Amino acid sequence: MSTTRSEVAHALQKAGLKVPDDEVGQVTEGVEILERIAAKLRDRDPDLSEPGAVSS
Amino acid sequence: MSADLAYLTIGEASRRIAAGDLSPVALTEALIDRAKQIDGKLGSFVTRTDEEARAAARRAEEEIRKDGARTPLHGIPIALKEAFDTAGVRTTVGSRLFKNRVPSRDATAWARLKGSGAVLLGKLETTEFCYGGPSGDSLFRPARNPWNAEHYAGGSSSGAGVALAAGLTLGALGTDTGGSIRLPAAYCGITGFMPSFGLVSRAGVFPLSPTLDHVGPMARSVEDCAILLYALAGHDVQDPGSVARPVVDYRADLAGGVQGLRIGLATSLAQKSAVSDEGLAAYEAAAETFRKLGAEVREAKLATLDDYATAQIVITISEGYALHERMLRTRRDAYSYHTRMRLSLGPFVQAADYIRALRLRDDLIRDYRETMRDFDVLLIPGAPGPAPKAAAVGAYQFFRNPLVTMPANVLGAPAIAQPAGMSKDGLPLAIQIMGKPFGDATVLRAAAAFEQATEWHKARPPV
Repeated sequence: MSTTRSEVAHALQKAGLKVPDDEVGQVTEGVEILERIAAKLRDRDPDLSEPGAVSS
Repeated sequence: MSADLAYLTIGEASRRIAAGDLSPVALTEALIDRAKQIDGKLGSFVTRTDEEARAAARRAEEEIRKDGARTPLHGIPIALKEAFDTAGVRTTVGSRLFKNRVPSRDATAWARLKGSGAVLLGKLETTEFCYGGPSGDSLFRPARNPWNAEHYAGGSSSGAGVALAAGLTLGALGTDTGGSIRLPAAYCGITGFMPSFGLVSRAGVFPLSPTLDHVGPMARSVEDCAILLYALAGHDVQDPGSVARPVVDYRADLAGGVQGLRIGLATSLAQKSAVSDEGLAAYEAAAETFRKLGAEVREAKLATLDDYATAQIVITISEGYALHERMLRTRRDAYSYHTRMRLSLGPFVQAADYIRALRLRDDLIRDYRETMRDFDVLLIPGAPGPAPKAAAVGAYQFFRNPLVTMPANVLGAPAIAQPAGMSKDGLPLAIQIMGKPFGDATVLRAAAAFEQATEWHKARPPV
């Protein structure tokens, strides 16, 4: 589920970034792209219950 | 000034200077005059150091007259991307935030070129913090592509690509985190080389993503890149990424040819989804050229462009945001539009995702090492195609449409972009040759063979 515009505005505010309202929409587009990219990374996570899946 | 002088390569100028047929003062003066005549419309230089250049050229001429040229760069005029610190010369990194920033020390890379006798013509336009642009609201107007002013010059080392294509400097230094040397080279029809990670010091160069950033030469020939690299390479304790390895003369093997060289076709990176038909045609023609030159050319299995881009994008946003977070909180409105849009994604990357991206990079490096047991270099398209219209490049363009230049940064591998064709609209097309980490000399040798077999590097824009 993608992050909504208001969630993006809230997250930016929480991070201390003053983003004007007319730019939040564009940042939201960027966040959607980033979420798709991050999802690909998470899809690669190993199954930790599988013996030998991870080692330090 | 004759166009012949403007378009001399470093190698040619160096040989003429050594033979007493060319004066560094006259060459420097001619380039200053040419910049005065035509750079107003191109905007490749943001600061010209005319008086300092004249003084340095006079000094070089005197030294050469007395003792001969001490290096091939002695008396050679060059220019630097605006991200390289230059003592006493304003260095803004293309940002209003650094509008009046004047470093007190030289970047190591420039100090090494200066020590070799090079003459600094000035500083070249960069997209803001090497991450923005082409943004209409930047501190400096984006440099115009001399082949067609409506089209993007490539970034972030935009001014370097433009100045070289327009005959305003003999060589330049750029930086590259995802393609910032190679894209301007591809779009402007010149040659740009990103050396292996750790080979060239980044001390005194403004960072974007310290685990992906590289410094490298940009020029109009492969030989010139080799000359500049020889002067630049070497360990520097000021750069934590710098690697202590012996420096070799990168010109020594340039004429070695590619007979028997094992060249892999990186077909997973040469996909219609990422590269235009014209870009793919230039790539395929280059493969044929290498075959005719005697190379063993066959397909190489590589990860997808999507995998490389995933790692590159997440690492760059994370590391870039870590650098800029404090300034973004207090002065976000002073950043140009594209830069602030990209950096504002920083709070949305979780630490775990950054770690996952580093792990993916480790996997990609391991796979690459395995693939390269069977190859000496890989052939890759140089860019997504000819330069797009500048107005069409949006804030998240390269997140949506990953660049074929990104894999080399993720791998820390040397890669060169060089001219390999011309589009139907009269814009340059390019190929890349990527090698094994610290296989820089082999990459340059393959590129020199291609250059010698083709004429594309001789094309000049209508300036």
